[in-house]
Amino acid sequence: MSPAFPTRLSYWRAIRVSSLCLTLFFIHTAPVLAHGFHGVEQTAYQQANQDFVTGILATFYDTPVLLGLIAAGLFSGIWKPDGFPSLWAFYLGGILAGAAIGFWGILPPVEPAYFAAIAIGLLGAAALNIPTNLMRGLFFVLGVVFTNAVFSGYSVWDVPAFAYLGVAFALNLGVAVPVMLVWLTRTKLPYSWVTIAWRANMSWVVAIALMSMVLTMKSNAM
Amino acid sequence: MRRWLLVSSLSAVILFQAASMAMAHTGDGLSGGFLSGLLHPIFGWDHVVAMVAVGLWGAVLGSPALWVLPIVFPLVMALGAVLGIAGIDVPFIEAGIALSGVVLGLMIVFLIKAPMAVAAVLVGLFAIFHGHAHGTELPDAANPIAYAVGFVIATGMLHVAGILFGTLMASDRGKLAVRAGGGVISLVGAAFLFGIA
Repeated sequence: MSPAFPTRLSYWRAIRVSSLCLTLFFIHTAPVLAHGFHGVEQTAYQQANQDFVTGILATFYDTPVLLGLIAAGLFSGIWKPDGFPSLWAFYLGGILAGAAIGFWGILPPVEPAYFAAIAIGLLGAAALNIPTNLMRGLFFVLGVVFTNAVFSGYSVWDVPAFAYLGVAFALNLGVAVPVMLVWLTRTKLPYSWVTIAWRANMSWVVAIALMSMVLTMKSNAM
Repeated sequence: MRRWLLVSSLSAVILFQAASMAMAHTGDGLSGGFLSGLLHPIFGWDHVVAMVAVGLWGAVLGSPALWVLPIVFPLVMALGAVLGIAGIDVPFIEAGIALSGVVLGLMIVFLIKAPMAVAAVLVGLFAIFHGHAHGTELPDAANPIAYAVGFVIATGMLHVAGILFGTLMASDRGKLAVRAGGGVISLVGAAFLFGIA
């Protein structure tokens, strides 16, 4: 019958074998390929995944668009914590129109997105009681401006199909997350300071957008 | 034993040879700019006292100044920063920053209940000086936009610290502590104004 614990001799032997195995393991493992979509259509899936992620990153790495998305989400939550669903269809319509305008190239890409972020941020900080129809119009314009900024300078066939999906996903996620945060805090913590804190955050977004815009314009002019 | 040491050391050498170079925490880009921006107002006492004073004076004045002042300050500060980035000179920047600590500190010491509009204009005026100082440094930062994000967040957090300190106003002893805090803010501002600090 073997002992429950290894003897001193077998202990050292176990360490020796283990360290050697570990070394061989580290040397001979292949690179990590998690979520590599291994299978029959490996290349197509990988390409689709890459295009989708590219679409998301192209949206979120665009500073004025990112600031604008955050401002729009916070603004909607400050206006009415559960008000975004009534604006969503108009925002989606703006996204479609914005893609067309972006490919057409009639609007500059950067400045309108910055101006939208600043304007929406000021409206949110002021917490004005805006009628629903006006809010719908505003969100349509926001959809146009953000999407125009992403697609400006490209032609329709430059962008792969899954990149369109990535952009659409990011444009909605970027608004939905701030909306959710404001909704969650305002419904779970029904105190006036919660809304005030979000309004203060809006003023931060405006300050950041204003400085970013001037920095961008200055670097473009140089 | 010697044989085991030999095998282990050989294994370690092979393992280190196979490993690729570590590239974590290089300090480039976002972390450099963001952290610099975040720490800049916190490590500059002239900025710290003025921004805490904004929140504290808001607490002394009560609602709506309690939240209007911390909203006005970053907005006007950004306008000041724009002037700094654009290279437009504003006279007496350092004196204005130091004076903001002195004036706002005295407002707190004497619990002066200025009208809302006067308080907002006064705080806004001082915000231009603070913003200009930051804005002048922005283009030199590693990542200017991340730097701007960092210093706006730090400014907001300092306002929150002032507001939280101002909650002591509910009791008589707390009121005394708030007034003493205003005195310290004034003294720090004066030290910068007269070149002692």
